[in-house]
Amino acid sequence: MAWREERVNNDVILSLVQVTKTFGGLKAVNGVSFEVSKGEIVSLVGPNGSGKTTLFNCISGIYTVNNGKILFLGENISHFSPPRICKMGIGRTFQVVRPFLRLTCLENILVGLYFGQEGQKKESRREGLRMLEFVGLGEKASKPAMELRLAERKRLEIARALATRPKLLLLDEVAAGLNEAEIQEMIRLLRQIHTQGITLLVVEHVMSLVMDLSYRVVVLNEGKKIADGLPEIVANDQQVINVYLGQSHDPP
Amino acid sequence: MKRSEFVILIFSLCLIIVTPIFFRNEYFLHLLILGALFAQLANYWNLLDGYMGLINFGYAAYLGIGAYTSALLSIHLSFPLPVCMLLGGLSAGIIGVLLTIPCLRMVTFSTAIVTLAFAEIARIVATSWTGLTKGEMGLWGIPSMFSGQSKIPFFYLAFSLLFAGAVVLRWIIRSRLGIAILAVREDEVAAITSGVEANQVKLLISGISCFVAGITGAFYAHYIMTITPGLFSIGYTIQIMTMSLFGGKGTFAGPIVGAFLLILLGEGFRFMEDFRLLIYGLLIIGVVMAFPTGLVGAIDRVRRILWLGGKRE
Repeated sequence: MAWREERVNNDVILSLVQVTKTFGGLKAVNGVSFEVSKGEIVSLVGPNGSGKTTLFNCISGIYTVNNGKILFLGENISHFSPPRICKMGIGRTFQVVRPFLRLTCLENILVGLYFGQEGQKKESRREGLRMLEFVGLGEKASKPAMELRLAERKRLEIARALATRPKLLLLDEVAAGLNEAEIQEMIRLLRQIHTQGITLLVVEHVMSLVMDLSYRVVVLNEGKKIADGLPEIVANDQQVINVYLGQSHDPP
Repeated sequence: MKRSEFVILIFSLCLIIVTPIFFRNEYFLHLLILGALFAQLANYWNLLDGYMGLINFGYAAYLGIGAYTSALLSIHLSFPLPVCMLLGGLSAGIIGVLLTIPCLRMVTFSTAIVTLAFAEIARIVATSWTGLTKGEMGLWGIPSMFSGQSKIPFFYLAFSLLFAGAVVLRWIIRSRLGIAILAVREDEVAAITSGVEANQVKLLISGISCFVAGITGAFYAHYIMTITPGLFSIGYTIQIMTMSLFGGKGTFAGPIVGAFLLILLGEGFRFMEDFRLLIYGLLIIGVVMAFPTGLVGAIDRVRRILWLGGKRE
């Protein structure tokens, strides 16, 4: 079988081909293939331990895949270092937020601005402030990240990732732990980011966000892809329902 | 540069220039020279450990490598002393980079053991390789930097080196590289996924930090004119770390304040003889428990509480 994915397709930004990652005997990600097209918002969902975050770590280069390929804009990045992948245009946030706690918010952004892209010009400070304002943290620029609430820390991480000028942004559970108002705020922010032409790949458990934003949903279970399609169709898929709600049995 | 920094810069320069004119006591000058050497070491240990978070429990090894390299070159090959000292610094810097390579793959705290073990190995080599190092006897008759008995030229050179070192350190911390260094300390995973080449940063800073330790060791060798393998010992490393912690790890002024205070206090404690190191230990524990950010951090906090505009480093 010829790998359809290997042909250079101008519309595909990210393409996973039979990606496998094992830890000892455990296959955390097991032969997963899917594509993300430019300008899409794709959600990656699945029960805990289904391999979503592992997949993110493979894409951003923190883990090296055991098998398969990860193509970004047609180039195989599966053995590239995280800084190199970042500079190519993949930004990410973390499920458990990882801001630089003792640096100020502005300095957090400057890390991305200075190092996350090739050939950064001057005016970085102003650019950083503009980015903080974009995520609604303009007033906190000189506060250490330590002093932020969870929702603010998540927005700071998004701003840091945006500062690297990504073409593709990987968002790992940006809505987890937020209240309803904060989730709505987050959805608004993600829409704004998307209108700037940034493709989003989102791991999320908050279904309101998934159904609201996604063009497409990919479902993982025990490291394998079990569904891939439009949100409404995937949500009604019998296998997906089984995984999430448990198998239905005939009444006794 | 801010105005307050400029004032501090000019003030410290004046203090350096004026001190030997008013204090003619050679012993006091000797203590201040030692203070300057240790302040330099504490500063650059702080760059490695305090700012970048690469734990190093064997920093004295680089002091020893610089001292022995420079001393041996000057004794056997009669190179000009500045060349010897530079080569001493370079050899320490290169070895520092080489030792950091395996550390890149380790969990933070493992590097403590690696560096500690390395310093111990270096000390044993310096003790056992009697053909080259004369073992426990140590090297003596090392050429001095300045002819004559006066300590004043040494004083000016030691403080010039400290001054230049501190300016360079400040410049590094304020530069883009400085932000990368802090990002690596705060969260390495977040740093690399934000584009920071953390491994390159670690190697570069290790090289710089160990180079400075080597130069300082070389200065020491050509100042005291006798060195022994004791220079590699954990005792010196602990002294350097104590100074940094006491004054405030991860702050700019901390290690300098700590070095001079402890050198002068250490002399005050000399009557306690063997208990001196015990006092150092108690001081670390006491200060670190009472002020986790050291004396400078504590002063800063008081200033902030009093609304005098204390600034985070």
